[in-house]
Amino acid sequence: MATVAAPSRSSAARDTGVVAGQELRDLWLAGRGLPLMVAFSLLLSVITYLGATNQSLNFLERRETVNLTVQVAVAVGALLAMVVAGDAISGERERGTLESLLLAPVSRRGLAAGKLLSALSLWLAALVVTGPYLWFLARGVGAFTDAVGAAAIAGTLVAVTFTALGIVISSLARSNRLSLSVSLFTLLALYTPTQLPAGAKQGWAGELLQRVNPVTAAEHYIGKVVINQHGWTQDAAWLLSPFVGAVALTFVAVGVAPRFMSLRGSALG
Amino acid sequence: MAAEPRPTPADELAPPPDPSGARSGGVTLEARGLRATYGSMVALEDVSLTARAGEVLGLLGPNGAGKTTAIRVLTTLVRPSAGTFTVAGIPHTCPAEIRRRVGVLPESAGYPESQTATEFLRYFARLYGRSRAAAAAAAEELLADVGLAGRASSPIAHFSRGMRQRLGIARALICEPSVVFLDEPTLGLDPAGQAHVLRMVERIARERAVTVVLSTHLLAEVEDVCSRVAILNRGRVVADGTVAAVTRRAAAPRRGRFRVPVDLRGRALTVLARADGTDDAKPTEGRPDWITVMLDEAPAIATVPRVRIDAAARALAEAGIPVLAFELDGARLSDAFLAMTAEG
Amino acid sequence: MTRRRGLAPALACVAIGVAAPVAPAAGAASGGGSPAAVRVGLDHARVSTRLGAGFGLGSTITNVGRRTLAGLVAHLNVVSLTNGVYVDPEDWSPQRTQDVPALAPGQSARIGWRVNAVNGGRFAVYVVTVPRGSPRIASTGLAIGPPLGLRVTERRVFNSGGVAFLTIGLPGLLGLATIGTRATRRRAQR
Repeated sequence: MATVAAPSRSSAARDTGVVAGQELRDLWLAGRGLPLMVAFSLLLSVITYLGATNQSLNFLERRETVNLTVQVAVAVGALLAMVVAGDAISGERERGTLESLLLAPVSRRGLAAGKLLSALSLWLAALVVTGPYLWFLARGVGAFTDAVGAAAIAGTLVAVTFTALGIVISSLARSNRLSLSVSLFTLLALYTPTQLPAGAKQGWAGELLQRVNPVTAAEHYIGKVVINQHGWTQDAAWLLSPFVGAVALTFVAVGVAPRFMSLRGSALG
Repeated sequence: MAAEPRPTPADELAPPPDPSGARSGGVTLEARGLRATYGSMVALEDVSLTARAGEVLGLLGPNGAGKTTAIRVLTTLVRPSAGTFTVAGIPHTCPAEIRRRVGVLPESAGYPESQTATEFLRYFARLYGRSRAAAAAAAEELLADVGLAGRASSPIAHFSRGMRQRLGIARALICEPSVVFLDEPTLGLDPAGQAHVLRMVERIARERAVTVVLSTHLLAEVEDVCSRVAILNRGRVVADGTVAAVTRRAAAPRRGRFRVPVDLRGRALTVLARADGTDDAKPTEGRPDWITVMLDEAPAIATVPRVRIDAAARALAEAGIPVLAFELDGARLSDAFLAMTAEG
Repeated sequence: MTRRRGLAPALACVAIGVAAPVAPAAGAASGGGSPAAVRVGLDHARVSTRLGAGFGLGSTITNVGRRTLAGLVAHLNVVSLTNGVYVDPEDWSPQRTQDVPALAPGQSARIGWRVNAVNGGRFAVYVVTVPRGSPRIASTGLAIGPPLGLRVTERRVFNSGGVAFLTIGLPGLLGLATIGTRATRRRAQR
């Protein structure tokens, strides 16, 4: 049976605003936003404390410690945003609240966009929370601006990529468990190459794979800016895949996946 | 969970605007030949329905008959594979407009546990295009209307089943709809809760001149509240009309009891046994002055039961036997329902 | 041939890290029987510092021969004297190999090094000069300086630079914000 696509005369922008407003309230005033930030800050506290008080932990110089902190913040911040996005539609479906939303004259596009923005707020909050830690670790080596800038640029692209992916999967998955499983598996699969030894990343094939994977590409960019003190544009070519990933997946999340948003879920499961 | 507060009397409400002319009693819901499928399974086949403003249309049927599918089609959640329908004068080709004019309480409606009742209604009012101030005012008014004013700031997580159903009805009314679809609104409620919801349904239809489509298993509810009823079985409408018409159409056997003076019972038995339209008159067990008669089974003719009763009473009167009291038994809507949905 | 303090460690260092003929005495070089033409000296004989600290180390390269020496490079090495401590020299100093300007007989040049104490324990830091040409031809340019005895202490400082305020304070602040928000909401819902 065909599900009804929802052309609606209501303004998609207004719908997005209304949905995003309510989702933000639910997430930050009544939901898990603040507790997640507490857990996130505890993680960064452990890394910062060990890095600041006992350097034999990683024998790295200061800039490398700052780089490590940025990489962890980007990874965990994007993960948090993705988890919330992965629950956005499939969670409503499981809780029985999706039907009421689909019956309202709100465009599905606006619904998806509003939930995307709300989930992304977790990344933005993570970035803000990371700031003081970076300031502390980077003082004395002049790396604060580099670190914050790299995190804001590359980290935001990675976060948008994963958040949009979470919305897409959530729109299609029949169950919340499936949605979260697929989202987390995808994130882990893309992060795994960062653990490969340096030798495996050599050669044209290794570099190509690094550039194509938005996670490894962003990691490379951040490292060059923070550790090697490259300028913002010197390694900008490495941001191509994160940028393309963010734009393409956002388009799919807001423009394509809503057509398949139904009570039963469709493609997955 | 907190105890459910006593419902408060409804305030008098000014009738809402009526752009579709519904208040004049015009047709607000019309479906012709609807067909819907889930893969290879046919959920609805050639379903036609009509309802007018102010009517309460009961949608009856056993599990899997297609009631929920019919509601989802008419509320544009599901696209029919054939057929047409209009809701509040809007054709099915304009689903977004239809959604602006209908209110729906789904059967398995969930609610965001962390939101309060007010937040919940305000959100939906905003989704329906109201400003913040208008949404707040609408939420307050509707909560009072459904008897939840005292729990406006409570999280929905603390609401009982009955309170959630009332909240759902309030949400269905948020857009001042022309047609309200209620899918099993009394499911899981105690008798008092059921009665309250049904009174609310009646009031909604009457005061707001709204068409209510009520899907329910409880036949007593339908007899109580509905002006029209449609019985679905295996995706098809097997009966459609007023409750009385549908009941008569089932031609279930009817039984009457006459009370006559004790000393005249013997003669009354003889008279009734010979009267037109009666069959098998016999003394009522345990009641010495009553006689039970079975009225003739006959093909469905609208006035047959009345004719049979009149004929029996006239026969007694002509025989000089006074009728002290009369009871009519059997042939309820439940009999019609079972008769129409029993066969495979 | 004079013996300088630190001959034994110097010999050990040579055995480990110097790809050159054995230097029989610190501060001088010989190879193939030629007399030493270069002397390497360090500013300090011992340094004690704590983990993570950096310090400057100056070395003096002197031409003690009779001919002008050109094409020398000076190279800094770090050797761990503590069992189980691994030294990655690249982490210890950013520029371990530096060119020595041409030296006339008796002339000296100062080469400075930045050393970061990356590991805790006892270490020997020394400078060796190596000619760019083949050592067999220009062996008079090969020399090992006296090792610097370096002791690096690990010290866990609870509130290093106020880190405790940050690492406890920020999560605490967020926790309070969480509790406060929930309490305010609960109060409004009564």
